[in-house]
Amino acid sequence: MKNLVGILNYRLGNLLSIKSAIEYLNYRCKIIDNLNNLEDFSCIIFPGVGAFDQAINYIDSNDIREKILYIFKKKKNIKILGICLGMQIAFDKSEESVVKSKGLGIFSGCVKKFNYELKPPLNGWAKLKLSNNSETKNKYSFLQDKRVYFTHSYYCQTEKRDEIAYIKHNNFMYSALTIKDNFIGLQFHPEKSGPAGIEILEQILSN
Amino acid sequence: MGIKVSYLEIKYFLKLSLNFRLIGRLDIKSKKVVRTYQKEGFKFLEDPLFYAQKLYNQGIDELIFDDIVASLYERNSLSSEITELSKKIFIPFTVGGGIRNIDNATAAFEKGADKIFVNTAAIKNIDIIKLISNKFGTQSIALSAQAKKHENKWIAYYDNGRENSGIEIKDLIIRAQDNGVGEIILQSIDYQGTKKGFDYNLFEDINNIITVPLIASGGFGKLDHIDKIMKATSNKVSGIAFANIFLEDIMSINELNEYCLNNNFLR
Repeated sequence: MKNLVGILNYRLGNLLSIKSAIEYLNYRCKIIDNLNNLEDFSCIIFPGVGAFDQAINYIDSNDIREKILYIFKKKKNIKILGICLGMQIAFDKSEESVVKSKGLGIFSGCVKKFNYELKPPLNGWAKLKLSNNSETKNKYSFLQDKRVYFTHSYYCQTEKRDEIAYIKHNNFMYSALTIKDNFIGLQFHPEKSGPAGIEILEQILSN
Repeated sequence: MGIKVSYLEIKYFLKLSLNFRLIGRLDIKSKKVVRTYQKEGFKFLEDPLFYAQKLYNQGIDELIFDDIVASLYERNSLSSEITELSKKIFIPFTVGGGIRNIDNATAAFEKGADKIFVNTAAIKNIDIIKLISNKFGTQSIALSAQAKKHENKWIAYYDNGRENSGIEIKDLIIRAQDNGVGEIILQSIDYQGTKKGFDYNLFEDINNIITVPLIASGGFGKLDHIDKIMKATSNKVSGIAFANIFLEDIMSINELNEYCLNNNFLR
């Protein structure tokens, strides 16, 4: 058995899929119940369910912000993996927020709402494109053209130095995978992206 | 000028650049997959896991699980199967049949459903869509609209195609969209199981009212039916759902993939 992965539970829906995917890769995995033991985990997951305000409200009413930012700044051997909404809350703010909630501010910028002819969410599959970032390009070359599953109404455009992979619709692009130090953000759902998603998850957890 | 042009381009291209979705539909009764014709089950086959695993290995995008007698008996019995499947199969699951209130929906999500669909419950009380949409997000709720032709109108049916609601399918779709539904799975009862192609007239008829992703179902049997449904909907259809082609081993997902690639339907 490998290291222990913890999933934060903002009590907003299905955590079973991500837990199953991690266990499928032979990692031990638990839903985090005691927030004082975050340092027991080799990876902490912010799952991708719910809305921006609900997630931030949970984080702030349980004093998670301080603990996570401490891990982000001081405990670089612990990974923090944000999936979909879990990535979006790591930005400064979001257009989804009605009460102007403050994001974690790990990535700078605002999460924006899609504007296109069908009502959001954007829901379906698309291929990852590798960002032109000389430091990371070789390490993450396995991501190129991987077909992954997205379901979201809001998107992020990270600073170029943090962006590993993106999605391109004509000349409109948004971030699909961003990394800053030990925080890894995925806009897509690796636990719902078939064998390609499982491979990406495995690479992230083992890297 | 720059803003307007790029906005138009985004609008145009976001639709086209999402991959066309191939969705396997499993109609389930007494824990077995059943082959159906015009919504009537007529042959019991293997367990859902058998087909789900087979389709997953072939590269299917999503699976729909329909407990086809659930609404009749007012319960959905798929929970334990879904939980088992979600340990091995890592693609989106849409689950339905017998979901009639927020508690049923919550339970389905907890058991591993990513999306649920409603049919009978939406016809009886459209508020169910709003409740689920508000709590779990629009992406979590689909309408399964089942149409049968009466003279020159399509009428919405419920209880797995047994009961005539007296509501025009268009009106049901509009109401569902107004209440925050995230997707429409539209199935022709007359064409379901026939493999003669989709009911293109039906899809042409509803095309201009659709504001959310549309999945075509009922009648798929040959590769060029994809081209025809794309034309009937002016490329609006987001994907197709099918059952018989894999239950009867008529074609593999690989063949479908290749056809889509060769015809520039993005995969």
